[in-house]
Amino acid sequence: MTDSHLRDDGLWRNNPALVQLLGLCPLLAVSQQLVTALALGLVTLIVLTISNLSISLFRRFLISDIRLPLQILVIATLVSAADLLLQAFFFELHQRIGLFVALIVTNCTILGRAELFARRNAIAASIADGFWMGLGFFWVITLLGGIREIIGRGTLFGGFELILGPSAQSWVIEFSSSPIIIAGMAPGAFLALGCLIAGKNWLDQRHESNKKNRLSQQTAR
Amino acid sequence: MKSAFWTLMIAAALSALVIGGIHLLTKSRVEDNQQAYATQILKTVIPRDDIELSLQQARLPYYTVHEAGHLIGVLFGVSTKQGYNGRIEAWLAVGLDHEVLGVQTTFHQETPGLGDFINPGKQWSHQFFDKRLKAARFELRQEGGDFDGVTGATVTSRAYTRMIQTGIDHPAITELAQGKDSD
Repeated sequence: MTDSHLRDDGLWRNNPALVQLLGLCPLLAVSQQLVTALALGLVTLIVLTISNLSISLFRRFLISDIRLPLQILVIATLVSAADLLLQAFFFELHQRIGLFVALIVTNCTILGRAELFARRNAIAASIADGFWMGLGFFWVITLLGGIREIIGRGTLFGGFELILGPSAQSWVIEFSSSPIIIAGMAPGAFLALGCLIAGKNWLDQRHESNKKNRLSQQTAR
Repeated sequence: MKSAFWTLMIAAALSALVIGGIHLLTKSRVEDNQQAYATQILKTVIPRDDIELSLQQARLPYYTVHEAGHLIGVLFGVSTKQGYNGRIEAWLAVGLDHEVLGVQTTFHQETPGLGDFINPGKQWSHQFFDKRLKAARFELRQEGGDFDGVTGATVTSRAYTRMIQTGIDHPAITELAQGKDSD
């Protein structure tokens, strides 16, 4: 598998959030606001990359009887470490997304990549796979967070002082003073994700039919 | 099967070591953060800028309040059991002249919709602010006191008013006020 293949798979063709629909719990629950979505996406990206690295590194020890508990153990260790580090260095952010950091363990994207890819591939390829899959999750959750913050709260870049210090307090942009509240609630999360998936499928189909058109034009000639 | 068992054991031990190590390294930092966060929440009790709080160890611990470097009062917890549904708890900040600097309810179980006026951010408790309260009568106006009750929630209003009375004579205030005079 080439690197660009892994990239296209993670970012688009086999995107964990839009195609595999894995990790919905954090994806839907933490995407109310851009800042929390961005932060959780980033933590997930890091955990996924390191998890793929460690699984691939220890893949000779993954005897088939115990490979699932071992994979979960590795992931849980990494998530606990990430949780502690967040508490130490981004405490206020942790107050907001702390519950969901722990839930990264249950993000099936991570176990899925360990099971499907990292335990069968060399270290470099596993890191690349983890990174691109993580980035695929990251851009979807960030986009979802941005959309839902604009529609559901009427702002964008709110709360960035949580990660970047008080100077970022002035970053917030106000769009409207009468937001559509439902976008910030659970149903809004499903609706927004549904629209994103529909958008992706629409783009894919358009691409496909363009290709067919071109092909048939060529054969007609 | 046996080797599977030992692999799992060693992996678990390694994982415990990693987490334990990180925990030890970050422990004091996390505790500092928690302390700072708690004080920051407490600061919102007093609606002023440039407030510093420092914890004083006493039989009942309290915080001294400094505004722009000057001692202006103390902050401590008060509670009453005379609420309509029992206990009410709040943070109360009292100035050196026995005036109320701020009050914020932290726990109550008063009737929803009727007793809500004691929730943080509501206007009702502002009638206590900035008054010299040493001479005030801590009763509701209809009972010959100096404070407005809320119709339909007299018991809650009365309990809250009396709870504030128990706070304004906090021994630390007298002590600190004397100390300041002799400076």
